[in-house]
Amino acid sequence: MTDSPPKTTPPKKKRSRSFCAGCLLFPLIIIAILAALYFIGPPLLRWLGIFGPPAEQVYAAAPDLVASAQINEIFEEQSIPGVRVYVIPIQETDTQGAFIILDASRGYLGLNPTQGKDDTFLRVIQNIHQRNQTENLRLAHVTVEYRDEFGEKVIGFTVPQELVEDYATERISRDDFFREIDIDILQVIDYYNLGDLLEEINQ
Amino acid sequence: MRTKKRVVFSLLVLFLLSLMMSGCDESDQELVMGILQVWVTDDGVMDEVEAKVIVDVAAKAWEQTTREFMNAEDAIQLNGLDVIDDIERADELSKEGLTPENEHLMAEAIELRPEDWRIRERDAVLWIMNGNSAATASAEDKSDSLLKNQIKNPDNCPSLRLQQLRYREQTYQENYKNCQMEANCNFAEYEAAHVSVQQEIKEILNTGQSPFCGN
Repeated sequence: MTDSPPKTTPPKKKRSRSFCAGCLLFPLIIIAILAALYFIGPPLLRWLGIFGPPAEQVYAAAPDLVASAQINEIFEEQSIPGVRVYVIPIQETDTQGAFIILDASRGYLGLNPTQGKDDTFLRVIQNIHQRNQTENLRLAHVTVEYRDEFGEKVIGFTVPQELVEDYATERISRDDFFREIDIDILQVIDYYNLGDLLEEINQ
Repeated sequence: MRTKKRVVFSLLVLFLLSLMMSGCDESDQELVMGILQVWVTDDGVMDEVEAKVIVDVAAKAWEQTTREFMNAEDAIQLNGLDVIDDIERADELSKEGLTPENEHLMAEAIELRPEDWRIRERDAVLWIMNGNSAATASAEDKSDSLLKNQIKNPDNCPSLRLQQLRYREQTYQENYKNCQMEANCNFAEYEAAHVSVQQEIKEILNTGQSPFCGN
Protein backbone atom coordinates (compact mmCIF):
# COMPACT_ATOMS: atom_id res chain seq x y z
CA MET A 1 0.00 0.00 0.00
CA THR A 2 1.52 3.07 -1.01
CA ASP A 3 0.71 6.31 0.62
CA SER A 4 -1.10 8.40 -1.78
CA PRO A 5 0.03 11.95 -1.71
CA PRO A 6 -2.31 14.09 0.26
CA LYS A 7 -4.87 15.71 -1.87
CA THR A 8 -4.03 19.25 -2.44
CA THR A 9 -6.85 21.59 -2.96
CA PRO A 10 -6.05 24.22 -5.52
CA PRO A 11 -5.49 27.53 -3.86
CA LYS A 12 -8.55 29.74 -3.98
CA LYS A 13 -8.26 32.37 -6.55
CA LYS A 14 -8.04 35.61 -4.76
CA ARG A 15 -10.17 38.32 -6.19
CA SER A 16 -7.96 40.82 -7.76
CA ARG A 17 -8.17 44.05 -5.87
CA SER A 18 -6.99 45.90 -8.88
CA PHE A 19 -9.95 44.52 -10.86
CA CYS A 20 -12.33 45.82 -8.21
CA ALA A 21 -10.63 49.18 -8.17
CA GLY A 22 -10.90 49.20 -11.95
CA CYS A 23 -14.64 48.61 -11.65
CA LEU A 24 -14.98 51.61 -9.42
CA LEU A 25 -12.53 53.71 -11.32
CA PHE A 26 -14.24 53.34 -14.69
CA PRO A 27 -17.55 55.01 -13.74
CA LEU A 28 -15.60 57.63 -11.82
CA ILE A 29 -13.56 58.45 -14.91
CA ILE A 30 -16.73 58.63 -17.00
CA ILE A 31 -18.33 60.96 -14.43
CA ALA A 32 -15.18 63.10 -14.33
CA ILE A 33 -15.12 63.35 -18.14
CA LEU A 34 -18.81 64.30 -18.25
CA ALA A 35 -18.33 66.88 -15.50
CA ALA A 36 -15.29 68.29 -17.32
CA LEU A 37 -17.31 68.47 -20.55
CA TYR A 38 -20.16 70.22 -18.75
CA PHE A 39 -18.01 72.77 -16.93
CA ILE A 40 -15.06 73.22 -19.26
CA GLY A 41 -16.83 72.59 -22.58
CA PRO A 42 -18.98 75.75 -22.76
CA PRO A 43 -16.18 78.19 -21.74
CA LEU A 44 -13.86 76.46 -24.19
CA LEU A 45 -16.44 76.67 -26.97
CA ARG A 46 -17.05 80.31 -26.04
CA TRP A 47 -13.33 80.95 -26.30
CA LEU A 48 -13.32 79.33 -29.72
CA GLY A 49 -16.25 81.54 -30.75
CA ILE A 50 -18.66 78.63 -31.25
CA PHE A 51 -20.79 79.51 -28.20
CA GLY A 52 -21.73 83.13 -27.49
CA PRO A 53 -20.96 84.97 -24.23
CA PRO A 54 -23.63 85.11 -21.48
CA ALA A 55 -26.10 88.02 -21.55
CA GLU A 56 -24.78 89.39 -18.21
CA GLN A 57 -21.44 89.94 -19.92
CA VAL A 58 -22.85 91.30 -23.20
CA TYR A 59 -25.05 93.89 -21.43
CA ALA A 60 -22.73 94.61 -18.48
CA ALA A 61 -22.29 98.31 -19.29
CA ALA A 62 -24.49 101.10 -17.97
CA PRO A 63 -27.59 101.90 -20.03
CA ASP A 64 -27.33 104.75 -22.54
CA LEU A 65 -29.50 107.24 -20.66
CA VAL A 66 -30.05 109.61 -23.60
CA ALA A 67 -30.99 106.84 -26.05
CA SER A 68 -33.28 105.27 -23.43
CA ALA A 69 -35.02 108.62 -22.94
CA GLN A 70 -35.36 109.05 -26.71
CA ILE A 71 -37.23 105.74 -27.09
CA ASN A 72 -39.24 106.39 -23.94
CA GLU A 73 -40.42 109.68 -25.46
CA ILE A 74 -42.01 107.74 -28.33
CA PHE A 75 -44.36 106.03 -25.88
CA GLU A 76 -45.04 109.28 -24.04
CA GLU A 77 -45.94 110.98 -27.31
CA GLN A 78 -48.43 108.19 -28.04
CA SER A 79 -49.77 108.55 -24.43
CA ILE A 80 -48.86 104.95 -23.58
CA PRO A 81 -48.19 104.65 -19.82
CA GLY A 82 -46.43 101.83 -17.94
CA VAL A 83 -43.50 101.51 -20.33
CA ARG A 84 -39.85 101.42 -19.30
CA VAL A 85 -37.02 101.52 -21.83
CA TYR A 86 -33.37 100.57 -21.41
CA VAL A 87 -30.92 100.99 -24.28
CA ILE A 88 -27.79 99.09 -23.37
CA PRO A 89 -24.44 99.07 -25.20
CA ILE A 90 -23.51 95.66 -26.60
CA GLN A 91 -20.08 94.56 -25.44
CA GLU A 92 -17.27 94.70 -28.00
CA THR A 93 -19.43 96.48 -30.59
CA ASP A 94 -20.47 100.05 -31.34
CA THR A 95 -24.16 99.03 -31.33
CA GLN A 96 -26.84 98.93 -28.64
CA GLY A 97 -29.84 96.80 -27.73
CA ALA A 98 -33.21 98.40 -26.87
CA PHE A 99 -35.21 96.64 -24.15
CA ILE A 100 -38.83 97.74 -23.80
CA ILE A 101 -40.89 96.60 -20.80
CA LEU A 102 -44.66 96.94 -21.24
CA ASP A 103 -45.81 96.57 -17.66
CA ALA A 104 -49.55 96.30 -16.93
CA SER A 105 -48.79 96.41 -13.19
CA ARG A 106 -47.44 99.94 -13.72
CA GLY A 107 -50.26 101.22 -15.86
CA TYR A 108 -49.67 99.79 -19.31
CA LEU A 109 -53.16 99.46 -20.73
CA GLY A 110 -52.49 98.03 -24.17
CA LEU A 111 -52.78 94.45 -25.18
CA ASN A 112 -50.08 91.90 -25.40
CA PRO A 113 -48.23 93.36 -28.44
CA THR A 114 -48.47 90.07 -30.32
CA GLN A 115 -52.29 90.14 -30.06
CA GLY A 116 -53.25 93.80 -30.64
CA LYS A 117 -54.78 94.67 -33.97
CA ASP A 118 -54.62 98.47 -33.92
CA ASP A 119 -52.04 100.66 -35.64
CA THR A 120 -50.35 101.85 -32.44
CA PHE A 121 -47.77 99.10 -32.60
CA LEU A 122 -46.87 100.01 -36.20
CA ARG A 123 -46.60 103.69 -35.27
CA VAL A 124 -44.28 102.86 -32.36
CA ILE A 125 -42.09 100.68 -34.56
CA GLN A 126 -41.97 103.41 -37.24
CA ASN A 127 -40.93 105.99 -34.64
CA ILE A 128 -38.21 103.73 -33.25
CA HIS A 129 -36.85 103.28 -36.77
CA GLN A 130 -36.98 107.03 -37.40
CA ARG A 131 -35.24 107.97 -34.15
CA ASN A 132 -32.63 105.31 -34.68
CA GLN A 133 -31.71 107.02 -37.93
CA THR A 134 -32.02 110.68 -36.95
CA GLU A 135 -30.51 110.42 -33.46
CA ASN A 136 -27.88 107.80 -34.31
CA LEU A 137 -29.01 105.44 -31.54
CA ARG A 138 -27.04 102.57 -33.17
CA LEU A 139 -29.70 99.97 -32.36
CA ALA A 140 -28.94 96.38 -33.29
CA HIS A 141 -32.13 94.85 -31.91
CA VAL A 142 -35.38 95.66 -30.14
CA THR A 143 -36.42 93.27 -27.38
CA VAL A 144 -39.87 93.56 -25.82
CA GLU A 145 -41.33 92.07 -22.66
CA TYR A 146 -44.99 92.15 -21.68
CA ARG A 147 -45.84 91.85 -17.96
CA ASP A 148 -49.35 91.28 -16.59
CA GLU A 149 -51.21 93.29 -13.94
CA PHE A 150 -49.29 91.44 -11.21
CA GLY A 151 -45.94 92.26 -12.81
CA GLU A 152 -45.43 88.66 -13.90
CA LYS A 153 -43.59 88.10 -17.17
CA VAL A 154 -45.98 86.86 -19.85
CA ILE A 155 -44.04 86.97 -23.07
CA GLY A 156 -40.75 88.25 -24.41
CA PHE A 157 -39.64 88.56 -27.99
CA THR A 158 -36.71 89.99 -29.84
CA VAL A 159 -36.43 91.54 -33.29
CA PRO A 160 -33.29 92.41 -35.26
CA GLN A 161 -33.16 96.06 -36.30
CA GLU A 162 -33.29 95.13 -40.01
CA LEU A 163 -36.68 93.52 -39.46
CA VAL A 164 -37.88 96.61 -37.57
CA GLU A 165 -36.86 98.68 -40.60
CA ASP A 166 -38.63 96.35 -43.03
CA TYR A 167 -41.86 96.54 -41.01
CA ALA A 168 -41.58 100.29 -40.36
CA THR A 169 -41.19 101.01 -44.06
CA GLU A 170 -44.02 98.55 -44.78
CA ARG A 171 -41.82 96.34 -46.93
CA ILE A 172 -43.27 93.41 -44.95
CA SER A 173 -46.71 92.89 -43.42
CA ARG A 174 -47.54 92.63 -39.72
CA ASP A 175 -47.99 88.85 -40.12
CA ASP A 176 -44.60 88.51 -41.82
CA PHE A 177 -43.08 90.58 -39.02
CA PHE A 178 -44.47 88.34 -36.28
CA ARG A 179 -43.50 85.20 -38.20
CA GLU A 180 -39.87 86.31 -38.14
CA ILE A 181 -39.53 87.42 -34.51
CA ASP A 182 -37.92 85.19 -31.89
CA ILE A 183 -40.33 84.50 -29.05
CA ASP A 184 -39.29 83.25 -25.62
CA ILE A 185 -41.43 80.12 -25.89
CA LEU A 186 -40.18 78.73 -22.55
CA GLN A 187 -41.51 81.88 -20.88
CA VAL A 188 -44.91 81.41 -22.53
CA ILE A 189 -45.06 77.74 -21.43
CA ASP A 190 -44.06 78.77 -17.92
CA TYR A 191 -46.74 81.45 -17.73
CA TYR A 192 -49.70 79.70 -19.32
CA ASN A 193 -48.75 76.03 -18.79
CA LEU A 194 -49.50 73.84 -21.77
CA GLY A 195 -52.85 72.53 -20.54
CA ASP A 196 -54.31 76.03 -20.30
CA LEU A 197 -52.78 76.92 -23.63
CA LEU A 198 -54.54 74.00 -25.31
CA GLU A 199 -57.86 74.85 -23.71
CA GLU A 200 -57.50 78.44 -24.93
CA ILE A 201 -56.76 77.19 -28.47
CA ASN A 202 -59.79 74.88 -28.38
CA GLN A 203 -62.17 77.67 -27.35
CA MET B 1 -57.34 65.43 -14.77
CA ARG B 2 -57.27 65.31 -18.54
CA THR B 3 -55.33 68.59 -18.46
CA LYS B 4 -52.81 67.05 -16.08
CA LYS B 5 -52.39 64.07 -18.37
CA ARG B 6 -51.75 66.40 -21.27
CA VAL B 7 -49.11 68.32 -19.37
CA VAL B 8 -47.38 65.07 -18.36
CA PHE B 9 -47.58 63.95 -21.95
CA SER B 10 -46.15 67.24 -23.18
CA LEU B 11 -43.24 66.96 -20.79
CA LEU B 12 -42.65 63.42 -22.00
CA VAL B 13 -42.63 64.66 -25.58
CA LEU B 14 -40.16 67.37 -24.64
CA PHE B 15 -37.91 64.85 -22.95
CA LEU B 16 -38.08 62.42 -25.85
CA LEU B 17 -37.40 65.16 -28.33
CA SER B 18 -34.39 66.31 -26.37
CA LEU B 19 -32.99 62.78 -26.58
CA MET B 20 -33.88 62.19 -30.18
CA MET B 21 -33.13 65.48 -31.82
CA SER B 22 -29.50 65.90 -30.85
CA GLY B 23 -27.44 65.71 -33.99
CA CYS B 24 -30.47 65.49 -36.31
CA ASP B 25 -30.90 67.65 -39.36
CA GLU B 26 -34.16 69.42 -40.18
CA SER B 27 -35.69 66.63 -42.27
CA ASP B 28 -35.06 64.10 -39.46
CA GLN B 29 -36.70 66.44 -37.00
CA GLU B 30 -39.76 66.83 -39.22
CA LEU B 31 -39.99 63.06 -39.56
CA VAL B 32 -39.85 62.50 -35.78
CA MET B 33 -42.46 65.18 -35.18
CA GLY B 34 -44.71 63.69 -37.85
CA ILE B 35 -44.47 60.24 -36.23
CA LEU B 36 -45.23 61.69 -32.80
CA GLN B 37 -48.23 63.54 -34.18
CA VAL B 38 -49.70 60.45 -35.85
CA TRP B 39 -49.04 58.37 -32.74
CA VAL B 40 -50.82 60.65 -30.29
CA THR B 41 -53.73 61.17 -32.69
CA ASP B 42 -54.23 57.46 -33.40
CA ASP B 43 -53.89 56.61 -29.75
CA GLY B 44 -56.70 59.00 -28.92
CA VAL B 45 -54.57 60.95 -26.44
CA MET B 46 -55.57 64.17 -28.16
CA ASP B 47 -57.07 65.38 -31.38
CA GLU B 48 -55.07 66.40 -34.43
CA VAL B 49 -55.04 70.14 -33.78
CA GLU B 50 -53.94 69.70 -30.17
CA ALA B 51 -51.26 67.22 -31.17
CA LYS B 52 -49.87 69.60 -33.77
CA VAL B 53 -49.75 72.45 -31.27
CA ILE B 54 -48.07 70.32 -28.62
CA VAL B 55 -45.49 68.89 -30.98
CA ASP B 56 -44.76 72.31 -32.51
CA VAL B 57 -44.41 73.91 -29.08
CA ALA B 58 -42.21 71.07 -27.89
CA ALA B 59 -39.98 71.40 -30.95
CA LYS B 60 -39.72 75.18 -30.50
CA ALA B 61 -38.98 74.78 -26.79
CA TRP B 62 -36.24 72.29 -27.55
CA GLU B 63 -34.78 74.55 -30.21
CA GLN B 64 -34.76 77.46 -27.78
CA THR B 65 -33.18 75.36 -25.02
CA THR B 66 -30.38 74.39 -27.40
CA ARG B 67 -29.88 77.99 -28.52
CA GLU B 68 -29.83 79.16 -24.91
CA PHE B 69 -27.23 76.55 -24.03
CA MET B 70 -25.09 77.74 -26.93
CA ASN B 71 -25.80 81.41 -26.13
CA ALA B 72 -26.94 82.07 -29.69
CA GLU B 73 -27.56 85.72 -30.62
CA ASP B 74 -31.36 85.67 -30.15
CA ALA B 75 -31.01 83.76 -26.88
CA ILE B 76 -28.56 86.37 -25.57
CA GLN B 77 -31.03 89.13 -26.49
CA LEU B 78 -33.93 87.35 -24.75
CA ASN B 79 -31.74 86.65 -21.70
CA GLY B 80 -30.95 90.36 -21.73
CA LEU B 81 -34.43 90.79 -20.23
CA ASP B 82 -33.09 89.12 -17.06
CA VAL B 83 -30.25 91.65 -17.09
CA ILE B 84 -32.92 94.37 -16.96
CA ASP B 85 -34.12 92.79 -13.69
CA ASP B 86 -30.55 93.06 -12.37
CA ILE B 87 -30.33 96.70 -13.49
CA GLU B 88 -33.58 97.60 -11.74
CA ARG B 89 -32.60 95.72 -8.58
CA ALA B 90 -29.14 97.34 -8.52
CA ASP B 91 -30.74 100.78 -9.00
CA GLU B 92 -33.06 100.17 -6.06
CA LEU B 93 -30.26 98.87 -3.83
CA SER B 94 -27.91 101.73 -4.65
CA LYS B 95 -30.60 104.32 -3.95
CA GLU B 96 -31.44 102.71 -0.61
CA GLY B 97 -27.74 102.32 0.12
CA LEU B 98 -27.05 106.06 -0.06
CA THR B 99 -27.10 106.45 3.72
CA PRO B 100 -24.17 105.44 5.95
CA GLU B 101 -26.31 102.93 7.88
CA ASN B 102 -27.33 101.15 4.63
CA GLU B 103 -23.96 101.15 2.90
CA HIS B 104 -23.99 97.32 2.69
CA LEU B 105 -26.81 97.71 0.11
CA MET B 106 -24.46 99.79 -2.06
CA ALA B 107 -21.93 96.95 -1.93
CA GLU B 108 -24.66 94.52 -3.04
CA ALA B 109 -25.56 96.81 -5.95
CA ILE B 110 -21.93 96.97 -7.06
CA GLU B 111 -21.68 93.19 -6.86
CA LEU B 112 -24.79 92.84 -9.01
CA ARG B 113 -23.67 95.32 -11.70
CA PRO B 114 -19.91 95.77 -11.33
CA GLU B 115 -19.44 97.46 -14.73
CA ASP B 116 -22.30 99.94 -14.46
CA TRP B 117 -20.73 103.38 -13.88
CA ARG B 118 -24.01 104.83 -12.53
CA ILE B 119 -23.72 102.67 -9.40
CA ARG B 120 -20.15 103.97 -8.84
CA GLU B 121 -21.46 107.53 -9.07
CA ARG B 122 -23.84 106.85 -6.19
CA ASP B 123 -21.05 105.06 -4.35
CA ALA B 124 -18.93 108.23 -4.66
CA VAL B 125 -21.69 110.34 -3.09
CA LEU B 126 -22.06 107.80 -0.27
CA TRP B 127 -18.35 108.17 0.56
CA ILE B 128 -18.59 111.99 0.58
CA MET B 129 -21.38 111.60 3.12
CA ASN B 130 -19.12 109.34 5.16
CA GLY B 131 -16.37 111.97 4.99
CA ASN B 132 -13.97 109.62 3.18
CA SER B 133 -12.34 111.70 0.41
CA ALA B 134 -10.00 108.95 -0.79
CA ALA B 135 -12.88 106.49 -1.29
CA THR B 136 -14.88 109.20 -3.11
CA ALA B 137 -12.03 109.82 -5.54
CA SER B 138 -11.55 106.09 -6.05
CA ALA B 139 -15.27 105.55 -6.82
CA GLU B 140 -15.28 108.42 -9.36
CA ASP B 141 -12.07 107.14 -10.97
CA LYS B 142 -13.69 103.73 -11.29
CA SER B 143 -16.79 105.28 -12.85
CA ASP B 144 -14.58 107.16 -15.35
CA SER B 145 -12.59 104.09 -16.30
CA LEU B 146 -15.79 102.04 -16.78
CA LEU B 147 -17.12 104.70 -19.14
CA LYS B 148 -13.81 104.76 -21.05
CA ASN B 149 -14.01 100.98 -21.51
CA GLN B 150 -17.53 101.39 -22.84
CA ILE B 151 -16.57 103.85 -25.59
CA LYS B 152 -15.83 102.02 -28.82
CA ASN B 153 -16.07 104.99 -31.18
CA PRO B 154 -14.11 108.11 -30.07
CA ASP B 155 -16.67 110.34 -31.85
CA ASN B 156 -19.24 109.33 -29.23
CA CYS B 157 -16.96 110.18 -26.31
CA PRO B 158 -18.00 113.82 -25.60
CA SER B 159 -21.72 112.99 -25.62
CA LEU B 160 -21.25 109.96 -23.36
CA ARG B 161 -19.04 111.98 -20.98
CA LEU B 162 -21.71 114.69 -20.92
CA GLN B 163 -24.27 112.03 -20.04
CA GLN B 164 -22.09 110.83 -17.17
CA LEU B 165 -21.45 114.33 -15.84
CA ARG B 166 -25.14 115.22 -15.94
CA TYR B 167 -25.89 112.04 -14.02
CA ARG B 168 -23.18 112.97 -11.50
CA GLU B 169 -24.62 116.46 -11.14
CA GLN B 170 -28.14 115.07 -10.68
CA THR B 171 -26.91 112.62 -8.02
CA TYR B 172 -25.19 115.49 -6.18
CA GLN B 173 -28.32 117.62 -6.36
CA GLU B 174 -30.59 114.84 -5.13
CA ASN B 175 -28.42 114.31 -2.07
CA TYR B 176 -27.57 117.93 -1.31
CA LYS B 177 -29.92 118.09 1.68
CA ASN B 178 -28.84 114.69 2.98
CA CYS B 179 -25.23 115.85 3.04
CA GLN B 180 -26.18 118.89 5.11
CA MET B 181 -27.86 116.60 7.64
CA GLU B 182 -25.11 113.96 7.86
CA ALA B 183 -22.61 114.66 10.62
CA ASN B 184 -19.63 113.25 8.70
CA CYS B 185 -20.46 114.72 5.32
CA ASN B 186 -17.75 116.99 4.05
CA PHE B 187 -19.99 119.76 2.75
CA ALA B 188 -17.15 121.92 1.40
CA GLU B 189 -15.83 118.98 -0.64
CA TYR B 190 -19.34 118.22 -1.78
CA GLU B 191 -19.83 121.74 -3.11
CA ALA B 192 -16.38 121.88 -4.70
CA ALA B 193 -17.01 118.57 -6.53
CA HIS B 194 -20.39 119.84 -7.69
CA VAL B 195 -18.88 123.05 -9.07
CA SER B 196 -16.14 121.21 -10.96
CA VAL B 197 -18.75 118.94 -12.58
CA GLN B 198 -20.75 121.95 -13.70
CA GLN B 199 -17.61 123.53 -15.19
CA GLU B 200 -16.82 120.44 -17.26
CA ILE B 201 -20.42 120.27 -18.47
CA LYS B 202 -20.17 123.89 -19.63
CA GLU B 203 -16.91 123.17 -21.40
CA ILE B 204 -18.40 120.27 -23.38
CA LEU B 205 -21.49 122.28 -24.26
CA ASN B 206 -19.39 125.24 -25.45
CA THR B 207 -16.61 123.42 -27.30
CA GLY B 208 -18.01 119.94 -27.97
CA GLN B 209 -14.80 118.59 -26.47
CA SER B 210 -13.67 117.22 -23.13
CA PRO B 211 -10.23 116.64 -21.57
CA PHE B 212 -11.65 113.25 -20.54
CA CYS B 213 -11.75 112.28 -24.23
CA GLY B 214 -8.17 113.37 -24.79
CA ASN B 215 -8.98 116.45 -26.87
